Amino acid sequence: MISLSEHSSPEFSLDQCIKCNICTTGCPVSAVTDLFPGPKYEGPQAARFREPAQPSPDRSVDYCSGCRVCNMICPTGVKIAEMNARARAVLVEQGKFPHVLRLRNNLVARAELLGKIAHPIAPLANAIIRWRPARWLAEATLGIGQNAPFPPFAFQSFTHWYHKHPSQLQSDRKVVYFHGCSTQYYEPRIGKAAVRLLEACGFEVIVPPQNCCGLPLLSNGEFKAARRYHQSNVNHLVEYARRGIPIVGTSTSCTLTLKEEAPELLEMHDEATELVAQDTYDINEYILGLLDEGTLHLNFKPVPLALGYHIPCQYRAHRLGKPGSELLGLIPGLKIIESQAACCGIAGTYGYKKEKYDIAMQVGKPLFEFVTGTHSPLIVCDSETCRWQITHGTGVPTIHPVELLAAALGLEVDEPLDGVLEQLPSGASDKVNCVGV
Amino acid sequence: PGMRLHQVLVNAIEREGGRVYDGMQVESARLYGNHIDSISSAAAARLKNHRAKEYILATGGILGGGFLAEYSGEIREAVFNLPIQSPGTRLEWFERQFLSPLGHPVFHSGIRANPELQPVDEDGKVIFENLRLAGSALDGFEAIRERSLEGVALVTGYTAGRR
Repeated sequence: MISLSEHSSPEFSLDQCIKCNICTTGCPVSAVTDLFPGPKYEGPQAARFREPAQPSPDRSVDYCSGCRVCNMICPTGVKIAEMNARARAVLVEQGKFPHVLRLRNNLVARAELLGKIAHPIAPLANAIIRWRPARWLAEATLGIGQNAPFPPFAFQSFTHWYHKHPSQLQSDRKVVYFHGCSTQYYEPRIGKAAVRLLEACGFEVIVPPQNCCGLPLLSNGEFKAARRYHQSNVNHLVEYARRGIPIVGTSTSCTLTLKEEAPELLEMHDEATELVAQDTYDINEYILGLLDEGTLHLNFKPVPLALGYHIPCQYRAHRLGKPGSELLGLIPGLKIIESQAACCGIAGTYGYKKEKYDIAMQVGKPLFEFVTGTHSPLIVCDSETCRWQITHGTGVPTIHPVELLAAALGLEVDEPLDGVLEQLPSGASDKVNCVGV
Repeated sequence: PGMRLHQVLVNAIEREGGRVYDGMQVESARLYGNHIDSISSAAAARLKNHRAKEYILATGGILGGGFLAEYSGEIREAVFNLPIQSPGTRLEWFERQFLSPLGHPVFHSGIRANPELQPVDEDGKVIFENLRLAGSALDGFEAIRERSLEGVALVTGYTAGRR
């Protein structure tokens, strides 16, 4: 395998392709549809024909879901997913997308904006999302899948709760929490669990001004806007990186974007961007690291549940192994059944589009069957859109691993985990058992 | 059939409590004298450490990507910089005839090992006592001419595992 310079553009890696087709055997999208010819074709092969000044030879690249399975299994390190994403951005720039679709893409890709608009009128917004005629109209005019799993907006945003929550700890050990749009507007309970967990371990949790990581825009080829979003985050976060304060997140896609996807796809390699990337951690990764170092000791109380756990495709893309499984494995009594599925299908904004909704559901079918087979009361998953897709495809409620960790330390947790735990035979004390050294 | 075999092996490893990870390329190692303390694989924005008591290097030599070749013709082993027996310059890599019955010297490249499959230097001294080699990384055979690629991999893999 050739070792290229750190900062050459992803397209240079196409020469490493040995045409083995292992990527194609693993691609969940080309397995279910002919509209996507496969990673080898779209990535290294088609890249040879993509001249900068000429129109792109194909539009099927838009059917790449960005799951990155191809990258993971390529034996020679070709950066297929990056090539596809960048090719799509070129198509967008060349105006190859009909205006309506581009409008649609921008709407679904701006989660933060949607949140800002809808959050103040959450009850009304939620009613509209569920109103079938409105969904039918949205599909007919904008191409937003009428059955796609839009989650309800929360009534209290995460930052609102955070600024008012009673136990704001002051400490020398600090972490920055990057909440992301989903925690902020849809699932603040996950941010609450994360903050409670980190504070119980003796950390002062800082939630600085921050914005959407920009991944949905990157996935839709809107690179100019994505660059603005990422630059803004870097500006907000770099001072913490310089002070050695880690940036911890619960959204696997947001943390991967900060670590790698934004810098790679946008070719942002300045010092500030790199500092922020190197300072960003997934929460499971972070806590495991502290446990390994010996600077943190956790006494988990038993959580006697058998739960299915789906590792999101973007979580594997962090290339950390299975930190979620490792960490959850430390909770006594907890049985984790790992899904073998490569991808739930939703792939961020992909499954929300009318023309891709069916593909997304077919990609997710093996996972849905696995979930039903586990007879699990809850499914654990690190990524927000995966959680919504899994619930959509199976009816089973979903939680983030951090909620289980919080419960295992006797901290307050919300529905749906709360309800499941209440049904267990009553057990150990409710004391917090977390020691920081 | 390759995919079936792969799945059989992965299932067997996972049944015994092992973990198999895709896409995490090992780039460097932490060493204490002739003992490997840990190895590091490329992760997003950082390196991830892996600690173990014993290690097996099965990175496949030139064909597998475990050996990297410079323009000068020098071939180096990608993780530990183990010494590789190889022809000197690129001019000496190949015979003139494509299908030469002598084979091509470059494909003979490999790391010398003792019967325990530990890597050894030219005096036969063990370089890393908790590392074993398997497959095409080894010196002493020429997989293409001999048609021995999978055979060597199987036997040495099994032996390294038993040790």
